[in-house]
Amino acid sequence: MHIYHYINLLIITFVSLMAGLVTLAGAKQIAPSQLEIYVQSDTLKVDVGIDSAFTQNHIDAIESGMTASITLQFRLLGARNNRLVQKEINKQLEHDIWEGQYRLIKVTVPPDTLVSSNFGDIRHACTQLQGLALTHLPLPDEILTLQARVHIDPITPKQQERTRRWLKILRKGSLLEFFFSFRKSNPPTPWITLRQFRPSALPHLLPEAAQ
Amino acid sequence: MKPFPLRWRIIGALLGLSLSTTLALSYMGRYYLDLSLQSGVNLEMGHALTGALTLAKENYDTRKHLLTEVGDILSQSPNLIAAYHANHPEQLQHLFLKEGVKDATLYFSTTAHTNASTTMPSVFKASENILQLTVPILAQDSTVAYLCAEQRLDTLLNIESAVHTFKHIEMDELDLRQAFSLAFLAATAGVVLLATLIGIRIGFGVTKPLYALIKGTREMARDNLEYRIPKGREDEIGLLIESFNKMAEDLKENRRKRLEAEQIAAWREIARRLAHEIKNPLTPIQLTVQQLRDKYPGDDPTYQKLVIDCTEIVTEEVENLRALVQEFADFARMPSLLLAPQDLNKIVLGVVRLYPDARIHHTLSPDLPILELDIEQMRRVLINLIENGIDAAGEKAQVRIQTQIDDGQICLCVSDNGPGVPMEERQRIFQPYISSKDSGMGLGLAVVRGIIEDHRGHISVTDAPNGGAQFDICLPIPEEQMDDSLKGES
Repeated sequence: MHIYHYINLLIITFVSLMAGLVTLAGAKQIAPSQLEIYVQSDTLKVDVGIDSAFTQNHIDAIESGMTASITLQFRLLGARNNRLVQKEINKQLEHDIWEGQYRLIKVTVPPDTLVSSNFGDIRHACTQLQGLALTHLPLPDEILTLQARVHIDPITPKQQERTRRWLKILRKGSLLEFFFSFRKSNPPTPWITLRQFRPSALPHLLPEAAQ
Repeated sequence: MKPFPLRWRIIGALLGLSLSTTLALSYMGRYYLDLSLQSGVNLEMGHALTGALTLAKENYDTRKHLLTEVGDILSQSPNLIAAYHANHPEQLQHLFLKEGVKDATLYFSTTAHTNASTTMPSVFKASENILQLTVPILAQDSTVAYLCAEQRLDTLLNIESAVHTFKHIEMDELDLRQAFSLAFLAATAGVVLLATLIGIRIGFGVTKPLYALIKGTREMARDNLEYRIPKGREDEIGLLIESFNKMAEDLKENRRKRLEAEQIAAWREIARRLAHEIKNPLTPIQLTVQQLRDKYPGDDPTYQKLVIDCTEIVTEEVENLRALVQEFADFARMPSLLLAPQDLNKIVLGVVRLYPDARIHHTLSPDLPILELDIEQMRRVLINLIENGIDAAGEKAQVRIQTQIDDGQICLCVSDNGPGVPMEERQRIFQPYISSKDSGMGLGLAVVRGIIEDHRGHISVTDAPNGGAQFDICLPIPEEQMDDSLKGES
């Protein structure tokens, strides 16, 4: 084999190795603790609870007063894995350690805020969704797949900047900073399949019953 | 086992050197990074920061408690109304100090923070870093203003911030190490890649001309003395190529000289034999014919005239043949040189004197060193060249003779105003039996070159400035006289 082939092989191996390392983030699996999918007022809705969304690292960070952004994503895939719908719920969890209060702000217009001194209540409010409207009917009468993933990031951009200032080695534009920022320290969980169903087989609830 | 080619060995050596150096440096870098991270992010530091945060929290609670107590006191104190009417909130500072609140900023305000109670004292966080006490000032059962006392929480927030940053680093420590590893890996790969490219450049740069040299030597071995290696480098390899090319040029020149010498020797041998074979019967022929003429006994005048005419013709032709034979003999003989110290200028002047009627101009350098020359042979050279010039230019012939020192050699230039020598004839005219003249055997310039080369000189023909031919003779100056002549030049 010609030497140039060896060099090419070396470069490809190196790039693959780096790409592998970069994508080797500690992705955590989640599992739903509660799940109901139903039709109400011609809308596909879901009641879901994902208690396992918070890791111990997340809890420690929030307990120490770090502000976390929480994103829950749902998507509905068709029979050929084609995406039919994607829905995203964004929340921000702040902890005032001085007053001992948690504040969960749902990023909507206007914002919906829940204040509590009990982390359990807040955690429940974060991960329990009731009557989440995914999409209007009709849907193709085929086997659909509902998937979800969670992204909890207790590192705000402000905190990122503060840490960079603390660690002077992470100067902007440096090689180290490039590789550091290339990796997401708190990556979203992988997509997990909550359920596969046929729309025609879903229960239909009366509007009152849902409330 | 066949060894690797040189170019791959050079590339491999550079690659190995750079790889080992970079890996060693990477290892050291990683080691010191570990040390550095361990000194900053460790269990003790975590405990210390957690403890500091607990103390900060206690401090916050204490501040809040003290402010609450001061608020209760102030709400029942007449001093509050008096200070408000005097618009002098600092009058109340001593009450704060008395309760242990040292760094409160006091002011009156007609409006209250949204978190404040409008009827009773309240303590709350007015902003992220401000703890505020608000005391309503009541007059006639209504709130007319508020006393606000603010304490900054910057120190406490700094501790909180430090804890957050510590937590962040702790969380990202693995990522940071991996980022370091990747950065080192990238740097290593970059260096290795660079070393490979440099190695290829150097390896090929060194071996390419070597392969060209190998090809050159093979061509030479195949007797191809025309092959030259293209230059293009100024380094030692370029010098080697230049030396090779010069060697090939010298070999080619030597071969040419040798061939010419062999050719001339062969011609001389032919000339010698011809001269010998022709010269011997000439005298008997001439004598016999003359005897025929002298001993004619008859009285037939017509026949007698015929005999006399024929005898004259034969005698004349015999003389011509004798002259030719002499020319052959001269060429064949070429006596060995009788070298003696001579002044070339004097030889030139001596020869010029032989042609009083011809227009011969001379420009002689006065600084010519004395040379070891065969005076007779050199005279023969000059006579040959002058006569060639006169013959070529005809009646209006002008011959110029110049001597000078040039590039460590003595140059003797003889030029004429004749038609010149065509480019394609310039090499051939020095060969025997090549002549552009009607008369002669074409041996003159061959003899001239023989004499000059016997003097270790060189002769060539070029165009004269006035359009004729110019013969340039270069004679080497002996080493011992070189310094003197250079001094003379300077």
